[in-house]
Amino acid sequence: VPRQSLNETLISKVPLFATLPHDEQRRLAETLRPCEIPANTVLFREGEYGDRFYIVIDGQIEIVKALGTADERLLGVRGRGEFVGEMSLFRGDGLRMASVRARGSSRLLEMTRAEFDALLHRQPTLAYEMVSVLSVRLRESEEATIRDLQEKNLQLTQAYRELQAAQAQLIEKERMERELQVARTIQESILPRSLPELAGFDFDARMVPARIVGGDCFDFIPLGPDTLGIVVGDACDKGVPAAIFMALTRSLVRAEASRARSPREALLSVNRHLLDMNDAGMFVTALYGVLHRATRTFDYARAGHDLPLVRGVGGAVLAPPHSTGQPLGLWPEMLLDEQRVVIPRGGALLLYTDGVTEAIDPQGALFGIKRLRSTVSAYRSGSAQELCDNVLQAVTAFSGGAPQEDDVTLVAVHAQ
Amino acid sequence: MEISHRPLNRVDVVSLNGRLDAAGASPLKERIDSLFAQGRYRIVLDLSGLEALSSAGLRILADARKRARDRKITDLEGGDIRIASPSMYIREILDLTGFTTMFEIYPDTLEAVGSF
Repeated sequence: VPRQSLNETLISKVPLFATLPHDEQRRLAETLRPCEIPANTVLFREGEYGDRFYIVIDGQIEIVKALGTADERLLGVRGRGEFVGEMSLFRGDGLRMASVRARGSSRLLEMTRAEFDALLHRQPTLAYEMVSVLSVRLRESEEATIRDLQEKNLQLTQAYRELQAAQAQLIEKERMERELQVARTIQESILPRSLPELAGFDFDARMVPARIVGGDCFDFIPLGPDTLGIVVGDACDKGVPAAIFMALTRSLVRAEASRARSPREALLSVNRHLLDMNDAGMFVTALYGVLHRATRTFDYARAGHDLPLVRGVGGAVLAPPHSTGQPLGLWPEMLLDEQRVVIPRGGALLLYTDGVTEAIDPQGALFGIKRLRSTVSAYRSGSAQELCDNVLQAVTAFSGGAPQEDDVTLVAVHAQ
Repeated sequence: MEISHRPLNRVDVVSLNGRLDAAGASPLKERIDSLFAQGRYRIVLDLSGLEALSSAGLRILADARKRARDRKITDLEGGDIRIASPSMYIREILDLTGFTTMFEIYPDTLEAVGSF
């Protein structure tokens, strides 16, 4: 089959040329060049000068705006019998309005600008048909652009709203952080500013909150020239609620300590007050005791708190016997564990919260009471400060960078 | 912390595995709240898998116990939270914090369930 007749068959099936007289179809068949286009070939690019257009015989041709950029947008797809690239032939500047790319491998017929002009001169009615197709395509392109703009506008509005919300959150977060910092400052300011002085003793105390504010507290309450009240407590939660509850408890202990005849009496009063004010089901474990200078005795009442440790000169660590002691703020008829310990000369007393014994290492193991006891035992009868340093160092080394879960509080009393 | 739940006819057994600390407290509270919401006020807490118990965890236990006991199922029976098979370590914590006197504690789950 000669090439001309094959082209002629193809041309007669192109809608644009279907109505042309046979001799014109034959003439086009002789002049138009078929070309094979591999998949993904870019036939021409937007903005280039266009000197030819194409009729699709087989395959699919994509019309793409802003090809290869972030704004790339598919305007349409032309298939068998349709033509592409005609717009630049009608435009005054002759520039391509979009890029054209073959989706799969395609077969096209190519027609130059000169051939096209000559054809229009010979067959002016063809111009009407092309213009009607052209006007549809221009409208489609315009609508696509408007839809695109509307979509972009919507995205922008959405992004703007999200930005506003994020900014509001940021402001709120900053406000809360400022408030937390204020809370921390208040909390630090209600802790004793200086360590107490009592002849024959030295003292130290530390509090390392797990969050900005903590639920632990300690206090030294001067009761007389030879007696000192010492309290350590742990509210049953973390963060601001615990800090508020702890501050309340600490004030109550301070108020009750000076008028009560015993630590037990003081804590029972505190418990009654807390029960009146406690709707949130919070509670506090606490240990409050009175240190007597002359006898080196520490008489305490324990409200569900960890047992104190007493270190002798030789390194023996003693946890005193205990009975039942219940937390403050839970039950009206509460039980308290009352004990007396004697701090030997050169020995020390350590009060702490469960943030010490329940510190965890990266594998999740607990620091535990045994490690605490051996740390206290290993400490070489230096000052109260050295005892606190040693315990904090041991806990920090054990944690090995694991996040601190609970507030850590230490109060040390060293008998010289 | 992992929480598993086994509903029995009259009693719910809730088993705790891991650490009941500030982080573990909220899921346990949610689980207990949802049981209370279904009218289930008799709960056995199986603590055999519990490794640590902090004050935040104790708070949930105290609160749950109070709410369960405030609930009167019949004139003879009320709700309660009962504890089964705590390890020596957990038992010591319950002891030091005075919780042993507030809770009925049983050596195993079967006995705790049978006590209701």
